[in-house]
Order: sequence, then C-alpha cells, then structure tokens
Amino acid sequence: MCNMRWQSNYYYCRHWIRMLCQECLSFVAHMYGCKNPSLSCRWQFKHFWSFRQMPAYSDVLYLAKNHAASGIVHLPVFIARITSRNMCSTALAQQGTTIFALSSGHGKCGVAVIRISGPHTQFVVQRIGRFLKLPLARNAVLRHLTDPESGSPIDRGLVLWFPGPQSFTGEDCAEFHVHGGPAVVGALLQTLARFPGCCAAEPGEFAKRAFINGKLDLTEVEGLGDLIHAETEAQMRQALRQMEGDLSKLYTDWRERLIKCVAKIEAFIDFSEDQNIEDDVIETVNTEINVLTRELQSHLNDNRRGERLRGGVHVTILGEPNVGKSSLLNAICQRPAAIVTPIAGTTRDIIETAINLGGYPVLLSDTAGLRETEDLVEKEGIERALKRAKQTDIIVLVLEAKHILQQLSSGKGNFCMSEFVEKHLKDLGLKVGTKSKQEISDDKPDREQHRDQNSSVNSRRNELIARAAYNRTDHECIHSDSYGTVQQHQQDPESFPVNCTTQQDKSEFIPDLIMILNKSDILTDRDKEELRHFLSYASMQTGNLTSLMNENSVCILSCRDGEGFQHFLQVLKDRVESLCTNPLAAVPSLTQVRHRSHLENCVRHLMSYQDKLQEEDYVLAAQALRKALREIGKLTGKITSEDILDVIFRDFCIGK
Amino acid sequence: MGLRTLLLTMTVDNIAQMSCNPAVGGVAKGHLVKEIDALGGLMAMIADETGIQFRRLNTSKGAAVQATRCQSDMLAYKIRMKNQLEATPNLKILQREVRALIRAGNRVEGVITHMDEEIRCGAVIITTGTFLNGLIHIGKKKFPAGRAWEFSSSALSEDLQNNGLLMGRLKTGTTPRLNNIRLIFLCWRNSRAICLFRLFHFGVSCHITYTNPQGHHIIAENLDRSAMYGGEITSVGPRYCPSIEDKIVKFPDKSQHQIFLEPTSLDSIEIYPNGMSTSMPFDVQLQFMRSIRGLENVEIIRPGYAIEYDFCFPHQLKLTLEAKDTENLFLAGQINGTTGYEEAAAQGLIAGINAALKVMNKNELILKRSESYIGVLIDDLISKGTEEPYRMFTSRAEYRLMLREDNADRRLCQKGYDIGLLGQRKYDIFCEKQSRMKKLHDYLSTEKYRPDEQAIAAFAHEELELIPETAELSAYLKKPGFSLPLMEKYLPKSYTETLREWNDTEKQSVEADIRYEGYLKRQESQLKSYLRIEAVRLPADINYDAVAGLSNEIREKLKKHRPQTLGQANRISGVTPAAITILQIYLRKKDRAGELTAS
Repeated sequence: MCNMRWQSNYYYCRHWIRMLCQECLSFVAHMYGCKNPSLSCRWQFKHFWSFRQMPAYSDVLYLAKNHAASGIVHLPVFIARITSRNMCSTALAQQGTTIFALSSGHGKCGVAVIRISGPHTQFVVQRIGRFLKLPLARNAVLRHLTDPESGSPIDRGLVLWFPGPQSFTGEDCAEFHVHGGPAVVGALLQTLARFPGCCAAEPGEFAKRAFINGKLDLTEVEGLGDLIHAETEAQMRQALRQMEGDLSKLYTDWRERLIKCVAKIEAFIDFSEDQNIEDDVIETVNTEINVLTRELQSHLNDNRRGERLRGGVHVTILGEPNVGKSSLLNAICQRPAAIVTPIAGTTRDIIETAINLGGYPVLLSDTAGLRETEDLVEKEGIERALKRAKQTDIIVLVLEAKHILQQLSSGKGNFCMSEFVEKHLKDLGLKVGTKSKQEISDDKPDREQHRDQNSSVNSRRNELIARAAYNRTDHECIHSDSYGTVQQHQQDPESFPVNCTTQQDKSEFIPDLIMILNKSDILTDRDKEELRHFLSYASMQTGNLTSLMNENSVCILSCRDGEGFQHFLQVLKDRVESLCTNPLAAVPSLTQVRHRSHLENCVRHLMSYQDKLQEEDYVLAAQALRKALREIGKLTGKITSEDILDVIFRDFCIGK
Repeated sequence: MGLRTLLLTMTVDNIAQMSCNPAVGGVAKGHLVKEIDALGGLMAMIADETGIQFRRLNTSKGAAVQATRCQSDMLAYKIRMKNQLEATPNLKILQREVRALIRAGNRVEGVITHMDEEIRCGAVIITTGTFLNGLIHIGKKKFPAGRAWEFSSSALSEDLQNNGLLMGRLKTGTTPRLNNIRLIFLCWRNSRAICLFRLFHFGVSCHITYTNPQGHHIIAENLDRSAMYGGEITSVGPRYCPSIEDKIVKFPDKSQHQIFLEPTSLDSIEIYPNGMSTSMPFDVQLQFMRSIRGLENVEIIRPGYAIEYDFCFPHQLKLTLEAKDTENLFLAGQINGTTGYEEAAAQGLIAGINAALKVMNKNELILKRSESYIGVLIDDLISKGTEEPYRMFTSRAEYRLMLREDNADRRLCQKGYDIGLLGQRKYDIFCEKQSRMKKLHDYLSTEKYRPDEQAIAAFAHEELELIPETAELSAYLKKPGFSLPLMEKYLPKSYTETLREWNDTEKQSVEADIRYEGYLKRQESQLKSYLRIEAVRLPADINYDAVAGLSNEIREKLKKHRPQTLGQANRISGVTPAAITILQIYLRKKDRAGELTAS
C-alpha cells in the first residue's frame, strides 16, 4: 500500500505484501526474523493476522516519522489503522493523553483492577488483549494479556471495554482485571506506560475527567474538591516518604546539575553577545549532559527486573556430587521433585520447578553434581549445569559443612574463606565475577571490568547509586581489590559506555551467590560453634568475595532435620525480592511507574538536546533541556523560569 | 486612535531622554521593539532614523533568538522623537507636574497640576519612571532628583498611596559619562575597536577595554563609602545590571570586567562606559576610571549614581494595565517595576491603547503569552509580581519558538490595524509582504525536487543526509544542515530563478517558519490547554473563603493577586494544579446552582 491509498476494507490488504516499498519490505522481514523478504504472501498474511508478532512500537513510530514527509500511506500507518480503525500513529501522538491507574488497593490481593481512560484506550486494549475486533461494549471477556513490544505474556484476565461517552469519565475507558500479585500488576502498568501518549494518572485525575465531561452530578462535584485535596495530601506524604534517603539525594542532585546546564545555555542565548560569557560554556554543558545522560540511563536500566517479575527469578543449585542439592530442592518446594539417593551422580539432567517465594515467581533448578567424569550422560549433565549457571540470577552453592571444617583444621589458621570459595568455584568449572571479564574485555577498557566486578558483589541497587555518586566525585572510583589494598582509579567520563543497555546486559550474567553448608546434623555442637565463629571472623576479612562471606550469604543447615532451613529460606526470599524490586523498576506502585516514565522522558530529551546542538539551534537545544528539567522537576517539585534566572545571575557576571 | 490626548511632563526638553545607555534593542528587547512597531508604536522608526550602529545578535543560535540592537545617537533620538510627538495630531504637550488625581468614588476623572489647574479626562495614564520620590546616591551624598539633576515628584506618590495603591521601592543606577578627548586610543593592549555603522559622514568607533585588579582594589578599599554597601540603600536593584562594586564583591575571582566605551551621540564628546554603573563617591569613581587602561587621563563629565524610586506593586493591575480597584487609572513603565526603554515603551503602548479603547467603550486589547513578548512581560508582572526591576529575557517566554523578531508583524499588525493605530500605508505594505511570503511558503512546500548528481556530490561533501526519493523543497529544509542559501547553490536554474523573486529577509523568515513547523505543531496541544484555562474568567467578586478544599496559603495568594482568569491563577507561584481544578469545580458548581435557581 505504499503507493496507493488505504481503503477501509480489511480484505483489501490481502495482497499488501506485494505493494510494499523496499524499506517497508525489509522492515516486515525483520519483523518476522527472516532474511528473505520475498516469502509467499500467504505465509505473511497468516502471520500478520495472528498478531503474534506485532512490530515494536518504536519501530512503527520511527518508520511512520520517516515516511511522513512523502505523504504516502506506508506500512506502519497501515498497521496502526487496522489495529485501531481510525487512528494512525501520528494522530495518536497528537491527541490528548490517556491515563491509567491501579484502581483496586495496593498490596497483595486476589484481583487487581487497572483502569484506563482516554483517546488511546481502544488501541491499547487491542494491542494488549490482542483483539482483532473490539469486545462487546460493557462485557467481560477473558483474554491472555501480552506485552505487545516483547510479545511476552503478562497474565490471563478479564477485559472490559467501555466506549465513551457511556463511561465513568465520559471518554473511552477500559478495565483490566488481573491477578493481584505485585509481579502481574507491575508488568501491566509498565506495559501501559510504554504506549505513547499514555501516562500514569495524577491523583484524582479520573474524577477530574469525569467532571470535565459532565459525568458527575452536583453532589458528586461537591465531594470531588475535597477528594482531590485529600489525595494530593496523601500523594505528597507518599512522595515525601519515598523521597527520603539516597533516591531523593540523587534526584535533587540531577535536577540541580540540570538547572545549571539550562542556566548556562540560557545565559549563552540571552547574554553572550554583549557580556563576556566564557566561550567554553557550551562545552562544559555538553560534557555535563553526557555524564547526566549516562547516569540516568544506568539508573533506569532495570537489569531485566521486569522480565524477572514475569518469567521468574532463576535460582540454580550447584555443587559437588552428593552434597545434598536435590534434598535442598525437595525441601524448598516441599515435595519429592528430585530423586534423592546416597549414590553420587544421581541427578543427571536439570530439574526445574516453579515456586512462589514471598509473592515472587522463582524458577528453581537442580543440577548434576560437578566433577570430572568419563560418563557421557553425566558429562552432558554437567555441561548443562554450567551453562545454566551462566544464565541464572542466583546461584545456591551447596557444600558439606564437614568439608569446610576439614579445610579449616588443615589450614592451621591460615585458611582464607574467600580464597577457598574462589578456588572451589574454579574447581567446579565456574568463574564467578571473572567470567564477565572475558566476555567484555574486547570492547571495554580495564576500569569497566573493575566496575563490573564491584557490581557483582554489591547489590544492584547500591551499585546504581554508587555509580551515580562515583561519577560525581570527580570520576574517581575507589574499590578494594582481592589483596585488600585500596586502589584508586582515575575515571575518564568518556570511557563510560554511551549505550549502557548492551553493556549492562553482559554484566548481567554475574549471578548472586548464596553458600550452603549442608549436613549440619552430622556435626557436633562444638564443631558448629567453631564454624560459626570462623564465619563471623571471615566476614570481617577483606577480599574480592567479601560480601559472600557475610552472615546473609552463608547458611549452615541440614536438609535432614530442617535445622537452619527457615533462615536460608528467608535469605533466599530477600535476595529474590531485591532482584525484583528496585527503587524504580517493577515495584507495582503507581508513583514508581510514574517516576520511571518521567526519567525515561528525561533521557529522551537529553538525547534530543545533543541532536539539536549538532544542528546548531541553541533554542531547540535549550528547549529540550527544559523539557528534561520539567520531567525531573515533576519528581522533586516544581520549577519556574525564575529558578533558572537565579542561577544565571549567581553564576555569571552579567550587567551593563 | 483619534482621541484628544494631553501629555504632561516635568521637562518638555527631556521627552525621550535616554537616561542610561544609548542603545535600543538587544536579545528579547529587540523582539519587544519589533512588536511595538507592529502595533503602530514609534520606537522602532525613530531608532532606525537615529541609530549610528546596527547589529544582528545571536545569528548563529537559532532563528527564534536572533535580534537587532542599535546604538543610538542620544541627542538625535530625543529631538527626533519630540518633533514626531509635536507633529502628532490631537496631542498637546504641556510642562506641568501632576500633584494629585481627581477621584469620584472608585473612578479617576482627571488630575490636578502643581499650578492648581484641574484637568478632567476620560482616563489617566501614569508613567513616572524613576521620578516618584527619586533619591540619588553618590557615595554618602544623597539628594532628591528624578533623574540626573531633574526634579523628583513626591506629591503624586503620596496621592497614589492614599488611593489605596501599595507602593514599594526599587533601585537602579547608571555609569559616569566620560570625556572622549582624553582617551588614549593607541596603547590599549586588550582593546579591540568595533567600527560603528558608517553613514555618509565620518564614522565613530566603539572600543572595548577591561578593568584590572588595581581598579578592583580601589573599589574594595572604599566599599564602605559606596551607597550600596555603606547601608544607604536598602531597596533592591536589578541583578542583571549590577554596579561595578556588586560585580567585584560577588565575583572576586574575576580579575577583569569588560567595558564597552560607547559614544552617546555624534554631536557630543561624551562616552558611556557600559558596565560601570556605580554608587561610589565621586573621587573614587574618578580614581577607578583612571586606573583603567586607556582611560588614564579621563575626565568624568557626569558622575555615575544610584537612584531609589517608588514603584507600584504590579499585581494590583489588570492585564490592560488599569488598576483593579481604581477605574480609568492606568500605570505603565518603571512605576510597574520594570527597567529598560523597550519594556517601558511596550507597557506605555498597551496602557495607551487600552485607555483609549475604554474611553471609546470598545473591547480591551490583551496580548497573550503565546503571541508576543509584550504579553509575557505584562502577564509576568501581573501574575508573578516582581521583586527587582524586571527586564525581558527570551528565557521568560515559554513559546519562544513562535515569538521571533521576523514574524512580529504577522503576529500583531492585524491587531494594530484593527484598533486603528497602524496606518493604512504600513498595513498595505504588511499585507503585500504577507501574501508574498505565503506564495513563497506554498512554492517551497509543493515544489518537488530531486538532487542531480552534482548536487548529491556536493551535499555528500558537506556530510548531509539526503532524502532518497523526490521530495518537496520544504522537506529538505526541515532536515538538519540544509538551508535555503546552501540549496540555492546547487538547485537547477529553474528553481533559483523563481526564488529570485523574494528578498533575503522574506526567505529567511519563511525558512524559519518551515523549519519550526513540526515543533510548533507539537507545542499546539500545550497551547490549547493553555488557551482553554486562559479563557475561563474568574469573577472579580469571587469569595475564596467559600471555596472548599483550598489550602490557606493558596487562598491568601489568590486573595492578594485576585487573578482575572484561571490561567493567571495557574501562574501565581505556589498555586498547584490541584487548586486550579478545585477552582474550576467551584465555578462550574456556581454556574449550575445559578441555572437551577433561574429555572
């Protein structure tokens, strides 16, 4: 249809593939992951209608934008039209915003209701519910809900469609009734937030829209004012609570730095002609914006948390043969999922069980015991175990408690726990923490690896904040190396990867580690005491794997009599939770979804600043910065042009 | 607009006296001048006629902030302006001091002069500049004056306060004027001369020199003798025109500050050292000036000074610049807390227009923030108030992209013509220009173009990205790096010949239109919501205590500012979006209640 006008007849597009321009054709090919775009039109047709693989939204917009100039109806516009009858993607961006919110209460509950209102509702419902035709108005329909961008399922739930004006707000509305777990709700809210023109509702916004569209009667209107007031207060308190601590510092710091940049560029526009504004002003702004963009990006990069929420956290049990891995699995899932015998090498293949741990989905894998072997089947099993270890989020390393004690007594006090663990992992064929080095070393300078190592042992949240902080402190990074000495690395801001996403994805492979000292039942009380004493001592040692040594990472337990098992379960739960939650990411609080989308917008504006600057249009560049600032301002409080003027006059000597 | 007008001034000779730097325009200020011109004001015309140097500023920073600035001949400007006023039909100029207003209830019906005349009129516009209770400071010396050695006026200020207007005090200052005969031009190491615009007769130069640490030391040593730092002046001065002592105190790291030495007039030997405003005692001024390289032998013809004056808090005005509580009383210029010739002229024009419209019983003229810098200026003053003398910056305008100098006529000429201020001749010129520009716009956005091989090579050489298929010329202009002059170099002859019909200014303006089209469209939705709440009028008698759900702080603010529209309320600092919704709800409720009782 590239060269003809689209007529509102679905079947007209039967032969659409033949009429695509080259660019659209390769786009389609890319969409289906096939290299040869000249596949039979029938095949294409079938797949196209299955709605399985809709093109990524950003791709559609990109192509639509590129083609807008030519005035011909192209594929992206076409897709948008058939998915939503009267809407083309450009029109989408222009109409008013669509809002969504979790209408049922927060926290764990049986059913969560998420409500959407606004002009894009129809489109959103069709994409998420994969509807070819809209469901009957005001009828509940059971659907599989999917994230249209990645195609991954979110949940099975009820969809209700309320076309305007017969709806609560008077606009097109819809409701999704899904299971009330934090994972599902979080995933759905995030998916919604990714639609262009969709944003999380402000407090009272649904009611406000209803009011504007004349949907509330007099008595209701009266109550609304108080409601908005109260909600604002509540929101403020909530925001205040959230804004305490590191996160608030981080945002405020970003905002202040951004204000400085805006002030500099505004001063450059308004005063550089007759005041002696330093020539390097734009240079400094550029550097600062680059640094800021990277910090924001790395902050936003959620380390696949959303995915984890949907697909579950991967936990893999590893260890030498016959240390009790399968017993541990059975104990965790409370059923005999794996065969347990005293014979070493009983488990050959990977045994997977999906469990629910504290509300988060966890995929637990038991693996073959790691040892040198000639047995072909076992060898394959071990290879699979190692492969799985590379893809997992948390490794549970199982050892026999006795084994440590033996090492301890033979080492005569010189025994170093961290060295031992490192050696042990190496013996097993695992290279925790150093593995990333090999993978990344070709495209990253040295210091990057140090950072990655660091991140492997810190919790990810701390890492993000620390990284932001380390960028601030003159780009100096202090960390201790494996010999316990402190080294200082001069960091060049340029060495930070611009595209953090790909880098992060690689460093992602460094799993968390929990060490289990199993079979505590065969130890004497004195042995246990000694072991505990040693562990608390070891936790004070400095070493590369220091954080593995603290009390939360090493658990002494017995699968047989259950001693210490609850403690281990708690440790595991905490780890899973910290992997799924992040100050911003998948936590299903609406405020946080909002934070995230503000920050994402902010990054987008910062990027466009850099584009505009290349075009040498400082006004547009300044505008982009202001937009970025407005987004951050929404997180920390308001900003007016006076703020900027204050900074201008504080930092520049301007005057006639 | 054809009404009989009387201009009362304390010194007829000093109408259009440039009391500070002899320049008109600048970034943002130039925009104001163009807007004044588009509405039919005189400033631009007179500045054109009496300018001795014209410059385009910001030529490399984007079309929206390009601006014009001219160095004026101060004496010529003043004389030319006075001539023009004298030649204006229906305008009478008298030298009188106004002592009081004649009031009847909450209306003003005329003024009383110091000659005890009673002059009755339909509307009064007060533009007192720095004259209300003006007090000049030079070091510890102080004396009442409206401007350098002119009388100040104290009676009117008192009368205004008696009329219930809340008055405050602001400070500004000016530099000493130097004698150019004793300047040493040859030995300035750091100087660079900018040659001024040459007319047919001899040219004049404008020089740059710098202060030095010795000079800074002189100021620092005598700081306690300055009026500002010696505790004589407590009122607030503009941050963007700091005195030299301010600069030295606030930016101690800077070892030098730049000084432009600008001639004030072709017929005068006086030099205006731009950037040297001061309130130091005279001997320190002289010592300091002579410490500057190139000024070693200089004489100070007129000492620099700081001046404090009364102003009226502008939140007491409507957007027409009429006082909210006193009908027919209009205020404009520095009395509203602004600084600068252009800002004053803009307000004077709006106050004048609205006073006339009111007398004629016609609809008022209010310019929106989205259509003019004048609108931004007045709305800022009234909605946000001001703590210091207010100067225009482009950064104050949120619709900066739309408000270019070159489209000021398109934005405002029609309005100027409709109210009868813009002459027929000028309007005809405007209309013709518009139709020509529309033609060019149409041509550029319909004419298809596909670069030939030579052009492709040339563009590739410039590292520009091409459009693969045939596209309109406008599509090219929207792409980064492309500009009309560049394309004209490579366009086939048929195109260039058509394009020759239009002059460069027209081309630039249309090009900017095309380039910003996309951004403007995106701003439109924002604009729509702005216009929507802007259109909601708040009744003057609204009782904020009766509005449930407002916090006390916001209630106080609304009571103080008494915004006329919801949009204005939105811009008062501290008023939250939630409060706006609450107000909206309250209004709707009241409407419905009204309907109910009516039926």
